[in-house]
Amino acid sequence: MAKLSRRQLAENTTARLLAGDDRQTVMHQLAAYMITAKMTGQSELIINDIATALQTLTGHSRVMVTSARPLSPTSRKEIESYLTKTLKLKTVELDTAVDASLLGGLILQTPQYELDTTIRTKLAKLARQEQ
Amino acid sequence: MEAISVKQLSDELQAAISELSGQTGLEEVGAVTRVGDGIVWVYGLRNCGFNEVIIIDGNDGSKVEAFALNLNVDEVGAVLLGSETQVTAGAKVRLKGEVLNVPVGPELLGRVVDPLGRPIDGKGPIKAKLTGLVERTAPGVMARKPVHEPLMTGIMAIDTMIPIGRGQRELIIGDRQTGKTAIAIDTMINQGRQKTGVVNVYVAIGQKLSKVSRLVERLKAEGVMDQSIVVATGPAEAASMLYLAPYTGTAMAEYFRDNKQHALIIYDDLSKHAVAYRQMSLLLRRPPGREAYPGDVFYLHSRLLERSAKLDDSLGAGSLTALPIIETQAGDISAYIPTNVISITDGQIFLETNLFYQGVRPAISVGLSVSRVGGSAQTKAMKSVLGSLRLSLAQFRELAAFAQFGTDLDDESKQSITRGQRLTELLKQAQYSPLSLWEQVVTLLVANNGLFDDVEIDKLKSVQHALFAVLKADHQPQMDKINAGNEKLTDDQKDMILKIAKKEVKNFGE
Repeated sequence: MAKLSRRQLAENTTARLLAGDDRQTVMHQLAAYMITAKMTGQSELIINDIATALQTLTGHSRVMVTSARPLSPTSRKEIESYLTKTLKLKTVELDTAVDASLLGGLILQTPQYELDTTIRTKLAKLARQEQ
Repeated sequence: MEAISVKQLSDELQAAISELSGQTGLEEVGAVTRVGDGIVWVYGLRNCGFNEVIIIDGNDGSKVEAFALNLNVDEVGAVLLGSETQVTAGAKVRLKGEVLNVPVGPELLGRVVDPLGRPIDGKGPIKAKLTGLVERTAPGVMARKPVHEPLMTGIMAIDTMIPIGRGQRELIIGDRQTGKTAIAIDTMINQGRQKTGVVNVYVAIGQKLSKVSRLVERLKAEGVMDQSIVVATGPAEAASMLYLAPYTGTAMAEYFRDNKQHALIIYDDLSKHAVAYRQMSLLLRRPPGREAYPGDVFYLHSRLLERSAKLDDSLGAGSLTALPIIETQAGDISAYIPTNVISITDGQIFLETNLFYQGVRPAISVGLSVSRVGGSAQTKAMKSVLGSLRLSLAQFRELAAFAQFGTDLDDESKQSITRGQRLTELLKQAQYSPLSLWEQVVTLLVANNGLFDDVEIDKLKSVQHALFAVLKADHQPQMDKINAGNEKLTDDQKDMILKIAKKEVKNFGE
């Protein structure tokens, strides 16, 4: 039997989850296939592919936001609005983290895209240009 | 029809601008899953295009570039353009949003660059205003014009029997150490000496850097470097660099072709290019075919050489002539890569090891060499004195082989052998000494009229040079006229040359 690509596997799993199949059963079957096809080393990538497929099929995305300071409610709303508009999403769920070493700005991470507006990155870019 | 509201249009345009500008911040990111042997495999980057440049975050904060060659369902296979030691699994990868391009323009003349267009001659940065695509579609049928202008190599054996036209692709093929590069260098030098205005681009593919260095010094000494560009890659460089070098050189040469100028490009050599591509393809897990080369190795060279063309007048009538070099093993021209390139090019100059060691240099095999389109580019002056040189030489070879058995020959055959021996001697030429058109025309005229037949073979070159010296000193304007090549030699010109030649032959005979 021809081996399924990782993307096909993720899309199939997502479709079954959205169709209401029992999550535990689906995950067990996925794990069994991965062991048979020697794909266990790719579990993180498959999860990411499932997240991407979920975003495409449902219009919902979970986004990681890392900022130098805690986000204010207004900032959160602005970010949500920016993401829904730019990525044509219906709903956005933000996971937040604070990292003071970023100095300012923020990093948005979706399964497929990234936006880095931090001062740390800008300074590093300037330093590279100087070299 | 619905009335068009300017206000509405303005609002829609503003909305579209803000929507589009809002998208610029988000970058598609992927991650390195595996790296090794100059190849990197990337997860993500679903919108990556073929040949698109990707930027990898290096482990020391640097950025390493690569270009995508394998677009699979689950991953992208890319070839690194920098050091792989800086790339680790898990490193972030971004799309650069552009395919490979290199600086092009007159600013590159006189420079030695690597396949990414970066200077490696220590003369500082190149301030080129333009860039050219490394991979570009060749001109179409309507953009081309038949080859009709000569590209003089200065090598008599080539310019007389295997003439090359501007826009032609003429393969130089032969075993190692048979003088392939020497022909290419002499052709470059001749462009400088004859002030043809042709721009030279020399692409060294995996050549020893000491050889490239010697070449550059020679070009400088000959005063040709100012109209030349050298794209150099050494044997120690990554296969990706060797793969890119000829495309980069072509992009640089195309600038001149597209700007109403004439350029000459030398690929030294395409055998090493094919080997570099084979290495990359095998590492990218593409299926191997004959001699383990990938299935698209023909396309690798056909798309490259098709970019050499003579452009139509409506496009400025510029030209790009290519002299690709192929190294054969034990004279086997029926191997995979040689047959491929022979079928792509418009002829070949075949160099024979035996001839080389017999002292016939350039060691051109008249029987196996051919120029398919160059004949129509040969000057009228040359055609008027050419006669049946090729046939005479072929007859001589046949008779000479027969005469080896000590057979008694009739007078006509003896005459053919005498003439053939002298023609062979006259076609020998030392390296770095290309002949101008008038020198070639004069030599042929005198030889075909049998004036050299009575000269001893070891004195032939001396007589030839004495003749050149007299003609140059006393008849320079006439020789300049022949050099223009537009007109046949008049009877008066012929009589004058033959008269002087008789005198010189007589002087040497005394």
